[in-house]
Amino acid sequence: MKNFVLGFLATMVLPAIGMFGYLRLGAAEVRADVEAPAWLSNLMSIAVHASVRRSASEVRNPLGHTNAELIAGGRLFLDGCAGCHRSPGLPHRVHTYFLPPPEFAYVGTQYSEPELFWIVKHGIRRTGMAASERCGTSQGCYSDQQIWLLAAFVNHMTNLPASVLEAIQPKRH
Amino acid sequence: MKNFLAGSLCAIALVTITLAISIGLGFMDVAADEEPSAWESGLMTSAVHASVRKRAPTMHNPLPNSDATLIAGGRLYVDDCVGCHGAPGQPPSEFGATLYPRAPQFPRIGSQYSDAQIVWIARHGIRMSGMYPHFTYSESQLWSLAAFIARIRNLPPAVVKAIQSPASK
Repeated sequence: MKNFVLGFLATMVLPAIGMFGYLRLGAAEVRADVEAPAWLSNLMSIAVHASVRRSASEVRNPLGHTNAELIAGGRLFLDGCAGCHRSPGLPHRVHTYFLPPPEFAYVGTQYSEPELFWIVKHGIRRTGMAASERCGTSQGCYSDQQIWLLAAFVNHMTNLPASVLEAIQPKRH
Repeated sequence: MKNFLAGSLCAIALVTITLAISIGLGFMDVAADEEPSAWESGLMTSAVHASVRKRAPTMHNPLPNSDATLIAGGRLYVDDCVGCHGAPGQPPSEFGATLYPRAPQFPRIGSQYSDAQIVWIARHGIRMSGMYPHFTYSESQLWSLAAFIARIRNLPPAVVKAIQSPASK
């Protein structure tokens, strides 16, 4: 019995010490432009998907999906999201770095609108995805209604009506 | 010895099952609006520092130590970094505070990295943070940026003035 407990404890403690040493000695790769092994990316996306699914409420998007609403969402997207997630109509960039922001116009999204709503509000930790909920007072903060508009737009980005695309293009002077 | 191995296997099974459940069923919290715990911040920050120290080259900034260098770097900083890292003389970036980990506010806290390390970080980015790699800058642009960030809490007034002028494009 004593040996059993010893074996149990040793197996719990040694990896923890090893991990600590690995991190403190600088062995961890920190470069974002070095591709991570596929198992790590996959594990992380599984963890994120599962967590978002568990946390997001089931409330359906209270807004409709009229062209006017898609246009309103699209304008918010161009202002606040396109810097990382790319404007629709621009060529797809294939990022080689770790945790690249998805370019929804090309890859779509596997999240539902309530899940997208949750992600915009709370962000995703240890990625570049900001939590709009933490935004203080000024620009960049969204009302719930604006977040729903964004969620609807992102959900439809692979399949936008031409008139919506036309309307959200920046005006040329 | 047989019992020792049995205990060890038990521990491995327990950890594997716990991890599988928390990852698969979504118990790993991914919300970025909660405050990072002190131990997590401490451990991750020291891991990044250690890794950067180990990998980044050690060399001096090859650019002349002049106001012109600082101004060139400052203009790049104002164009591309202030959104997350905050501008000199301004309140901290609100957007930087919406990321997890929070973006360091250099005008307040400065940087503990050398110029060469700053160049290395700007080019390669930092994994598992919002710091993405910057491929488009030339070597000398990055060195001027590093010179600026390294002195951001202690800038000559002429530099501050020059980078704030609207004609800085």
